[in-house]
Amino acid sequence: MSSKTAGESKRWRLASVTVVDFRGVLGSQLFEFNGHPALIWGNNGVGKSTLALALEWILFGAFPSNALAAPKDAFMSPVGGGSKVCKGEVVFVLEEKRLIARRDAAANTFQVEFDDKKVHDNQARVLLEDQLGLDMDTFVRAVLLQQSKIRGLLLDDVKDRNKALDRLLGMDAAEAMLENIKPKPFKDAAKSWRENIESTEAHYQSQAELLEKRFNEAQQEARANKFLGRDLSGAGLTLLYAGLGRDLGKIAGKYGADAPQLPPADTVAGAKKTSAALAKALNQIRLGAELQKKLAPIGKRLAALQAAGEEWAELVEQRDEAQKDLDGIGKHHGDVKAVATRRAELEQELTRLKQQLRSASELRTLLVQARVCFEGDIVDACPVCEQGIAQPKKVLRSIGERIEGLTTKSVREIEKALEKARTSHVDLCETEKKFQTAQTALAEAQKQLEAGRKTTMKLLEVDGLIESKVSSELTKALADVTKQRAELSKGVETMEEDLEAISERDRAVRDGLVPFLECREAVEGHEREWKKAKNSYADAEKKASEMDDRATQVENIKKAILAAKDEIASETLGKAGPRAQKLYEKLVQHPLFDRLDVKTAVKANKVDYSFEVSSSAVNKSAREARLVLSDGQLTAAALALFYALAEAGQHGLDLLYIDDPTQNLDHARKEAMAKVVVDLASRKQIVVSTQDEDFVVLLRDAGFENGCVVHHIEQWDRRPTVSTTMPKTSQA
Amino acid sequence: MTARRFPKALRIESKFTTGTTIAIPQREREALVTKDQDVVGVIAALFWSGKRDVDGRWFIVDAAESFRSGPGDAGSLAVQDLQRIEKGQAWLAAVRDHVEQTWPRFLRAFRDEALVGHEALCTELRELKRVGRLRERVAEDPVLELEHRNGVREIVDSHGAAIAGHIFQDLLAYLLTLAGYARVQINPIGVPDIVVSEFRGDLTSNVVTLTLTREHADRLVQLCQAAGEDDLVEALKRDFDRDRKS
Repeated sequence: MSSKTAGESKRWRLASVTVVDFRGVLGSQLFEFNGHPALIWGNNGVGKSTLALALEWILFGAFPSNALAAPKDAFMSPVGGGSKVCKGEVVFVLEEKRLIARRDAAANTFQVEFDDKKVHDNQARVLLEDQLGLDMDTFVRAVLLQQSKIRGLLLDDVKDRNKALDRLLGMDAAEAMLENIKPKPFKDAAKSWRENIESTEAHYQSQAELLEKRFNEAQQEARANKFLGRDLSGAGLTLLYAGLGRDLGKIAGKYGADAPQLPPADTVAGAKKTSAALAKALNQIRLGAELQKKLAPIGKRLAALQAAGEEWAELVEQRDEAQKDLDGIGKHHGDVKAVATRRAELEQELTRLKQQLRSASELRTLLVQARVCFEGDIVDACPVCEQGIAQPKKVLRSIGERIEGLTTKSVREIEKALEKARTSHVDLCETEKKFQTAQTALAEAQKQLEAGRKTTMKLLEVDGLIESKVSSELTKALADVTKQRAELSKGVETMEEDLEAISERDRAVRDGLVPFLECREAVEGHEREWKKAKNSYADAEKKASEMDDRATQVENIKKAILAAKDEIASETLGKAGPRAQKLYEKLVQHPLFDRLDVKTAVKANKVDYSFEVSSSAVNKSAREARLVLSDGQLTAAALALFYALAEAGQHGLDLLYIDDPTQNLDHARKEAMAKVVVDLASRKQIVVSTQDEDFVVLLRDAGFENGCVVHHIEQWDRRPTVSTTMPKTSQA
Repeated sequence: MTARRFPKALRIESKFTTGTTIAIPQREREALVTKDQDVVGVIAALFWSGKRDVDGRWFIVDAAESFRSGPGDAGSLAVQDLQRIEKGQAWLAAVRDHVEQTWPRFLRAFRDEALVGHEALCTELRELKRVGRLRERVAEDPVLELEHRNGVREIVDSHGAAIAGHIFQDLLAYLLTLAGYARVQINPIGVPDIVVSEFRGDLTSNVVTLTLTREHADRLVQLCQAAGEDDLVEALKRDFDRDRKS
């Protein structure tokens, strides 16, 4: 079979791929193609897919984002262990020209050699893309045809099918943009700004209503306290307290007190201080007034006079009591002098009686002695006078009688009288003592009275005040002072009334006006804040409008992208459509639905795809392909579209690398696929990779092996064992 | 910034409504027409319609620039129309600023007389104007928006919309004399409602005119914002926006 047609000879073909220490290849492995179609076949797990992956990695240094589940290094390193230094080289040929791409993971280098020139990294990427005319996305969509790419077309979910078609059509980038370009955040932001304004406004409105109610109630209360007009303001408050201060000064002057200075009540808080200062000032006036100064000594004098009066009365009473006691004794015992005379007389009597008693005793003694003499010796004569005694016995008897008489009568009487006199003497002494005591008490009382009189004279500031006048003078003085005090007290009462009037006015301001002004301040603050908020609304509204503009711009961009996507996808499908139809007919060979129709439709900010089949013989027979085709037929239909789109791709590679195209296909579909591959190979370099031996036979039967390279990977032992058959022309 | 000047005289149709639209009949509109370039015929509208941002403030527009000249013009203006027209009529900025800054304080100053009645108010305003003590009555301390709305509400509730309209009209007339108009004429029956003239604003106006580049103006706004001077920012923005549109 011919490997090239005239029209396709201007595109690069694959000459070789060298893989070093990459996934299924440990060490170095060369796959030669020399620009020919090729068949790579072998059992599962012998390294077929490694070649496709290596080709992708060497050229682009990456894999599609959804291809790698494992970390990139772990994915790329040799399965058989050993070095992790992946390398590779891909050689393309175009007539005599060679384009060589080399990638070294360890050195992290990428090199492209072309026209005797070697460039690296970014320059190499640019040169490669320039020569091949494709990037990685286009490569995996239009060159490296793996069945996994069409699986999405078989899924039930419209989104998945749309996504799969986006990928096939190269619209996934546009779709990603559409998904990311969302006007909603801008609309939400605008809405949020406006809601902020509304909620702020509602907040201020509700606060205003509450404050208004409080304000009106407080104002009513203030008016009830007779505050009107200008009183109901801060200036009014200041004036009211200034007036109170003035009146306070006048009152202070009137009562001879120091005029206090009140702090100005220029704010509500200041008014409270002023009120406190005013209360203090009132007390100062109360205490410092002349009236108070006079009243204090008068009160003191009054107290002193009252005390002096009471003390005088007490002293007089004491003195009178003492006199009364003395008089009582006198009345009972007579005059004190008489008592003294009586006592003196009694003392003389006592002396006399004592003398009598002594004489009687001495006589008796003599008589006793005489009787003793007469009783012992008869005495004839008197021993004293020596006169003879005529009758001694008679004398003796007489002596005896005389002794008896003295003893029983005279002495006894004397003793009795003596005893009586003694008793009387004691009584008189006692009485005399009482007199003395009473006299002493009277003298003392009189002395105190005298002292009281002198004190009173001093208190009354008079001289020569006699005792009897003391009491009346005191009463008179007390009456005078009491009168003075009454007069002063009346003045103090008037002062208290004046002060109370000021205090009352202060109380009215404090309790009636200040609460209103506090409320007014709250309203004022609220109005100020609200005004500030309203000023800020302009900014918020401006931002909201800007957000609306952004949302509109984003919507327009989205619409533009959507329209472009629809246009490009429609054009691509339009170009690929006839070829897809032919391939569908060849691959599916459906007895009824002989037409494949893939179209776009813009719906609600997105592009939907319809993947339909229909019968050319029946009108309105179009059906959704997945509903009427079997899985195998659907796979074949999807491959038809896939290959057609790949063929329609505009790039610099004349290569289709078809990896495992027979999954899910029955024998007839495989046979048809083999013919399609052979047909494709007649126009470009086809590399088919398969594990399906039936398909290998069918390809051989279809003539694919004529003029193509066959790499049979017989086994794998940490590297593929490849048996390569080069075409005869190449071998030649 | 453009220079902000008061017209030599103003011919005013004053409107007060509890709705959101005012009607200016042809007869009233004709009364505002003047050939003198320095005299402006204006419509001054005050609303009490339950809209917080609108109620109690005067909208002042040049009548000559507010109506289409065709016969199809019904002669009515809605709040939104007035708001829009105001933004485009920078030449009345001085009048508007004066009214906006003074109106709440002026209303507060004469609230008690206004509540007593229209006649009492007129007498008081006339007398104070005659003896030159009108300004003394207007305290400098600011009026809260709430207080101002309460003031308007009290007058409307107390007298009804019709009488309240006359009261507000008289207050506006005398309020303008504080801008420097020496002569005020109020027509209770005829048209226009108010004529203020003999402007001697140079004696009374405290308006300052600045000339700034746009860049400087924007910087000034930013600096004022940073300093927390919200009132100033608002005033500057209002003027800048007005200039930008004009």
